[in-house]
Order: sequence, then structure tokens, then C-alpha cells
Amino acid sequence: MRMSAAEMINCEVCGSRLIRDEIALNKKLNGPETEEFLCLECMAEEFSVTVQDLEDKIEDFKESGCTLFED
Amino acid sequence: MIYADNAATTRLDPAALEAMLPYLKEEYANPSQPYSFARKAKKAIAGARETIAAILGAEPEEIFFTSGGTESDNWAVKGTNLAGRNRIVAGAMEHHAVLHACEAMKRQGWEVSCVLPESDGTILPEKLKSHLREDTALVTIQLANNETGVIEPIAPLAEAAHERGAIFHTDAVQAVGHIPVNVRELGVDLLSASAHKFNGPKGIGFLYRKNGTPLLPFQDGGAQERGNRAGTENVASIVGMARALEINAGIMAETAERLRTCERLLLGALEGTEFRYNGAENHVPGNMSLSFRGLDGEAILHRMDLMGVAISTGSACTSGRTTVSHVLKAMGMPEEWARGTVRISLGRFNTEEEVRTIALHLRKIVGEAQ
Repeated sequence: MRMSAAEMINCEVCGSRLIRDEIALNKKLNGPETEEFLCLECMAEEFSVTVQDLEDKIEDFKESGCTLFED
Repeated sequence: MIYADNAATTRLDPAALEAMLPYLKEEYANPSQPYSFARKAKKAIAGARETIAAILGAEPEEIFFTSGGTESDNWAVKGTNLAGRNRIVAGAMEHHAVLHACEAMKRQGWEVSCVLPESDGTILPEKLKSHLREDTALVTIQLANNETGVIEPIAPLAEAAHERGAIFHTDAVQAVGHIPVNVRELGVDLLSASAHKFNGPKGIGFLYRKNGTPLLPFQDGGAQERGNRAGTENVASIVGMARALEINAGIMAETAERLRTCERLLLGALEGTEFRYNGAENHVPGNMSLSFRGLDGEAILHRMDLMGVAISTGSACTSGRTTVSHVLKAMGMPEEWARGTVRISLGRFNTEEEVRTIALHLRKIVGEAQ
């Protein structure tokens, strides 16, 4: 299966491949036009929060029906 | 957590809660019943009605208890009853409780016309006059806007409506309990309010109806609210609402002064960032709509949330697409600014220390992005 460009984004800090929820969360927290992407661990460090805080945010967005995230 | 979204709802005043408790525990009688056990509940409702009426400069029989602002607005718009007239003129920045009720009337064959504000959110009486006709039944313009806090010049607007024989309704949900509101001075026929916006409980509000104003009953059933709004009264919440309003009215001037100081503190701390303040000098104290060019309002909201601060936004991202609020659109705000809009609404429980923290976090987020 071919991967789209969006699915090929890597974390700017650690270089890890980002999953769809991470990409979506970057857009939610930095704006839809953002070109800077971080994985959850690096984002948690950047924002001085826990990974759990970010995972809770992802769940909130999913529950609100945002289709940027995985079902 | 720092709560700075008081335009959405407010913290229940502990004294209001205390006032409610007896009617939830011991005095639970149905006030419509004729036995003596119902007497206290009945008296409590009458007392609450008198308290609210006195604060608003109304007569007690002009206050009708409802489930909140949305119901009051719907009642005012849908209950309008002037023979031979089937046209509504509404402010373009009204709350959806008003605008969607107007849409419902439109589906029933009514004509609806919207008045646009000036760029600062103010609706000019001259502009309203150009929308008025002989078939206008109702003019509905909010006293204070829920996003910007801008206070409209209701008295001359109501006068203009009356000159054409129309009923004037104002959605005062964001104003009552925060700024002085006197129905006689405003000259309104109908006024909506909601308790949870002024440190009262949720699920309760009222509609002021000037004596003699033609209005259809909201719902049919029992004889409560003199046959205009059937349903067993929410006694505890009615009591809590009156107590909360009484408290807020009693400290209104000092609260307003303190919140204006907090506003200056926050706006001063943002100097050096590229932002604009949306609205007019005459606004609800503590209610600030701020736009940051090139930023995303919802992103700011969520970043602030992660920092433990609850604020609101003037734009919403729906699955990647940002939509700007109808209020900002009506004010003619350029998209590049409107998308980066947040609402910070301080209340009487906020401290200056909290405002400093809000400013610090907001400055950090905006500074990084700009």
C-alpha cells in the first residue's frame, strides 16, 4: 500500500515517523497551516506537559468528531 | 486551573448554593399545592420574583421564570403576537438562541431582516431605522454581545422600534448581574436573562415582559407563571438565581472596577505582540475579544488549556477547516485577524495573580508563533 505525503512526516526533534493522530494534534495545537511537527514525547517536552495530557487531548478531539484523527 | 471563560458560564456563588439547599432537602413541596407544606416554597418564589424585579426596576408580575436564556429568547421571538405584522428585525451579531429562533419563524412565513453593526460592534439607531417598516412586529437586539462584550445603545434603539409600533426585545444574558440594567430606563418590552451567567445555577433564567406587551404563552399545561409558562417551578434554582443576582448587584461597581484593572494589566502585558482589541470602550467589564494576526484562535485555546487556562475562541476548526464566528464576520473583521481570535472573559472570582499568569502564557504562545 502506498503512503500519502501526510503519513510520511517525521518528528523534527527525534526523527521518528509520526502517526495520523500525532500529525492531527500538531495541526490542532499549532494551527492547520503548521509546517513543524513533533511526536508526542517531544511535544510533551516542548509544552511542559505529560504524554498523557496530549493523549487526553487527542481523545477529546476524537469525541468531538474531528476527522483529522484516527477513528 | 485558571478559569477565564466567564462569558460561557460562571462559578456558582456559595451563598446562592446555601440559599438553594433547603428547597432541595426539606422544603421540596410543589408550590402549586394548597396545603401548608407548600407555603414556604410558594413564598420563596414570590420573594425571588420581588428581588429580581426590584434590581431591574420592574414590577414582580413582569418577571417570568424560564429554564434559561435560550428559552427566554425563543419565547420572545416565537411568542411575538402583533396582529397584521409578520416581520422581525434582529441584530446580525445576536446569539444563536435568537438567530435560530428567527430562522424558525422564517420557515413559518415570517420575514427576517438583520442589522449589521459598525466595525466596533455597535448598532446605530439610524441604521436600525432603515430596517423598520409598518409590518415589523419585533426588533431584537442584544444588550451585550457574548463574544466581544460590546454594550449596545438599547434605549435609542428601543425608541426607534416603538416609533414604528414594534415590540422591542433585548437578550441581556451577558449583561444582567454585570452592568446596571433598568428595564424602564432601557425602554424595553421584553428582556432575557440567565442565572448561570451571573454566578447562579444552570437551568434557570427569566423573561421580563413589560405589562401590556402582547406575547403568546410559551407552553401549555398548568397555571404556573399565570398560565404563560406551564410546568412545576424549579424552586431551588429560582431562589439561587435571585440570591446570586442580589449579591452581584450589591458588589457590581467594585467588581467592575477590579475587572477593568485586570483588563489593563492583561492588555499591557501583551504590548509588543501584534494584536487588536475587538469591540468598543463601552463593554462588559472583563470581557475581552483579542485577535492575533496570522495565528489560529483554536490553537491558542488548546495551548492555553494545556497550560491550565480555560479561555474561548472566535473561530472553530472543524476537521481541519477554520470557520470564523458570525459575530466577527458581522463586524467586518479581515479573515487573517478573525482566525486568530480568542475571548478572555474574567469574572469576579478571578484574581490579579491569575491574570498575570494568563498574560504570561498568552504572551509565550503568541510570541513563539509571531
